[in-house]
Amino acid sequence: MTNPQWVGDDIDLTRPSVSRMYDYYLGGFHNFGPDREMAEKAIAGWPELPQIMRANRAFLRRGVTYLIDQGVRQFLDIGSGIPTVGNVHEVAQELASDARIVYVDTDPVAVAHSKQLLEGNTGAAALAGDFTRPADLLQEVQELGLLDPQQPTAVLLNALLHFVPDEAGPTELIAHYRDWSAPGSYLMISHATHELHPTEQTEGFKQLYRNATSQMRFRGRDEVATFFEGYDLVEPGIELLTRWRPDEDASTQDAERFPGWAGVGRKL
Amino acid sequence: MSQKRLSADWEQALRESGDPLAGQDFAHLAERLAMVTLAGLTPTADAEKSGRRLGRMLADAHFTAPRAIGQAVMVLARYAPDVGDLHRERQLLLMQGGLAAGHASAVQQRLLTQQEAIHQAASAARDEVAQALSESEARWRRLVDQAPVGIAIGDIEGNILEANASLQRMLGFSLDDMRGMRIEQFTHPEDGEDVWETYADLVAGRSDEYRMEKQYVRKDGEVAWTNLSVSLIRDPDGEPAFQVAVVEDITERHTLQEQLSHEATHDPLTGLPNRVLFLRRLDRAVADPGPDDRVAVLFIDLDGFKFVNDSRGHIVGDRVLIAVAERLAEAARASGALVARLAGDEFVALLSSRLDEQRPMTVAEELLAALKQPLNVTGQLPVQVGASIGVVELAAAGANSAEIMQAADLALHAAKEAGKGRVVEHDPQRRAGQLTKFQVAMQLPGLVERGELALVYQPLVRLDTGAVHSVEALLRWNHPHMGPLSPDMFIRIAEENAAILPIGRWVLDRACADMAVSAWPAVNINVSVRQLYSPRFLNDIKCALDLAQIEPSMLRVEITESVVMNLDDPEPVAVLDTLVNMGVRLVMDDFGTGYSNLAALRRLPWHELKLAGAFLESSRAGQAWSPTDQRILQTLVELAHSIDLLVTAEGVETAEQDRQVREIGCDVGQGWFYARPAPVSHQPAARRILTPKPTPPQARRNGGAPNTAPMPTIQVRR
Repeated sequence: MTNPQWVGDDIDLTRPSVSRMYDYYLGGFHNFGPDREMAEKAIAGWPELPQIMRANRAFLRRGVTYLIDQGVRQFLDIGSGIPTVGNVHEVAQELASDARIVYVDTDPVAVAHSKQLLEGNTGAAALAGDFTRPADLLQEVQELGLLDPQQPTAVLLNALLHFVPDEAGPTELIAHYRDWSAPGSYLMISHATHELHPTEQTEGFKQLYRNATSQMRFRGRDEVATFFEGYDLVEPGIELLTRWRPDEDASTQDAERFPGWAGVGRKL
Repeated sequence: MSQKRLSADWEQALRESGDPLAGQDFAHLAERLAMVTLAGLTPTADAEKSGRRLGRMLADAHFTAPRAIGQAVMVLARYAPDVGDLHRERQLLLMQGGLAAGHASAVQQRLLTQQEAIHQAASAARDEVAQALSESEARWRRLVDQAPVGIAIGDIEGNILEANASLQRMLGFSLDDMRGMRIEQFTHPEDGEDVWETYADLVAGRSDEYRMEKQYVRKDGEVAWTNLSVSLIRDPDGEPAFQVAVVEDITERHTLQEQLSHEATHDPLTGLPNRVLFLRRLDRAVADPGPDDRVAVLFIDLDGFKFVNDSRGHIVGDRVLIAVAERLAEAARASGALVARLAGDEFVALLSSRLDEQRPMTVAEELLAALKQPLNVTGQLPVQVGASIGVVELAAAGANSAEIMQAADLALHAAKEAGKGRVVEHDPQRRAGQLTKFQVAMQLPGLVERGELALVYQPLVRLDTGAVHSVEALLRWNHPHMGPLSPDMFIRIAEENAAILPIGRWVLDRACADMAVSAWPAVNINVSVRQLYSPRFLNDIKCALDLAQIEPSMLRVEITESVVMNLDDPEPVAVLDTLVNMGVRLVMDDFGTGYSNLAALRRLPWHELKLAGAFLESSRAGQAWSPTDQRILQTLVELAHSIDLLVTAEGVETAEQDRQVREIGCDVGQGWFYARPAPVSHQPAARRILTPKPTPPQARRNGGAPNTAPMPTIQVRR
């Protein structure tokens, strides 16, 4: 296979990886010393972090369930990270066995792990790719042949865009994926925000991530809304993670403790 | 205790520490957890086993965070029995113990499995990167190996580590050969010192790259020319680590360049260096000389080559030049002189080294001696050509090429003057009074228009009556700086370029005009061979005669014997025939100097013949003619008389010579003994009889000294 250009000369496991830290927050063991060390620091400054991650995972589960209900059978999960326990393909394929999922991540370890995990699953695959290089990424997806661009596809950008700086032009990048996907496709976003938290906490968090493989950019609700250009936001629009179509009996009273915006849009 | 409340407690705990994507939804799992809990707490149940099961279920639901087990224990703790129910309390403790153990065991298993998985993933990712790297490296290796330029890597000590296929081909060494070699082994004898200084700077880290043109000796001994570009590779600390050489083969280009450069600097006929290369070397010799350096130039001009060329054709002429070039180059080899061909039959030799051991004059004599042997020319009888050589030698410091060449030219001129076949060294004293050939050639155009030409007339006297038979028009160039110059100084040069034509026309017009206003019976003018070829010549003669209103018979055209001898073309012969038919009289000049071919006398309707002054030279030196000479001359005159030719003796200066020329039967005399050349204004206004003077005039004593030749006539030499 050809090696994607962005892969460096070596895998540097001494640098904390966003996806392995995420795994650690969720109680997984797919991580290394540096990942755990930094995740512990993050938790020390923001004790609710594991819960926020859980809220995000819950949103992901509800979102995928919603999309399956809408008839979507193709999923492109960019920034999928470590498939800790259960994942999009498990949720989707349990509801619709013909669902097809492509996981994409820049972390070669995460990709390698995903591949091991997906061995034998004909409806799911993982590949190395970079959200900020849409042409290359979509070329790889095309070559993989799992997704049919003529059919609606849900592009999942969960907990990804807050690692994409403004200079990279996230709106323009999203437009690439939008233009690639067929009418009736969906875009799903969850995004960390600073709006409900004291500045010093988000600032400290940004500082912390400065040394990680990706840096953080918190965004407000309005900013997140602009990412849905060309999409119709489905009810309830941009909402806090736990308030986006919550399960019937779930409590949403402390939603502000989990500060992240979530939304799903349908391509016009 | 209600199952519903227990179930809600479990669900709350799961929401706080479980993974929402773990497959089952929390409500359902909480219900099952509540059921297992209650069943385990019944009095007969194995509470510990149930606890273990709870632990496993929680772990499987990803309920694995450090605080998770604490939360689970707390859920159970809320169901502590009322005080006193010791059995139930024991069951609960057993369950909590089982929960902790079961959870720990399940978590440990998960931990080991997941750590193994992530390590495998990392290792797989690394393998993939390594694979990609090795593919990339293989691509680079192919690229380097197939590159059309040579590429080599060496360490700082100068050991060659790698060399690609191109370089192996270029130098003829295999990779194994080269791996055992050191860079210094690629020294070429013609590498300048700077080549290895530049290299030393690079490996010492004083420079980061250099480029140069360098030649290499191939394994087979051939030379390869290259454009070499070497770059230094530093280690992360900036210390020199490796050197990479990129070598472009330019042998072909270089060969072509050399060939072109050779063609531009060599004479295609003889293969000798040409004027360009010679002057370049001369410039170099005087450019940056040491204090004691000397330089010498030998200017060689063939004698009589034009005759060879004209009489035997250009092909033979070219072969003669080739043979001469070989002779000269061979003869000069020992001296280390550079022999070049400047133009036509002009050669030159440059001596710029070892001048302390050898005299340029000696080298020149050797060159002359080399030409003494007849030259073998393919398909021809051996040909003999002589040469004259002008030599100049001076200190290289302060000299300049142009001046050296002028001086050599002057010396050559002097050698020609002195009678050919000689070597003459440049005399700086003489220089001031002479013009170089170049200067003359530059001043010739416009000579007529500038009015610098003049004619003087010397009478020809009938020996029997003493009457003036005719006068000969003699040309002078009144040079603005040099004073009057004799025709010898410029006529030969004028004949080489077309400048002779306007000069000849001016002589004709002037002589005829002077004739018209004087009382001379006739006027003699000298005509060059070039004029005979001029289509205007006959018309010029007619116009001049008409304008001056003089009879054609009053004009006498003198042509030198050597010119007539070589007149093979019908055109000039026809021109002379026409002249005679017009009534102009034809005089053969300088008879006896060249090839004295009596047959020439029959080819044209001659009227008169002038014996060359050379016949009188021996007697001028005070010696009488030998009886044989006397006899031959007498026979010549008799022969001329027998075909009705009038015979004139030239250069008569003494009474003794007057007696001698009378004795052999000459009809007319010319020379200082009778009269000196003078401007027309000084000529007698009317015909009168001149009585030969018994004693030489006063002037003759001063001017008639043995070494002083009479002012020469315009002579057309071949």
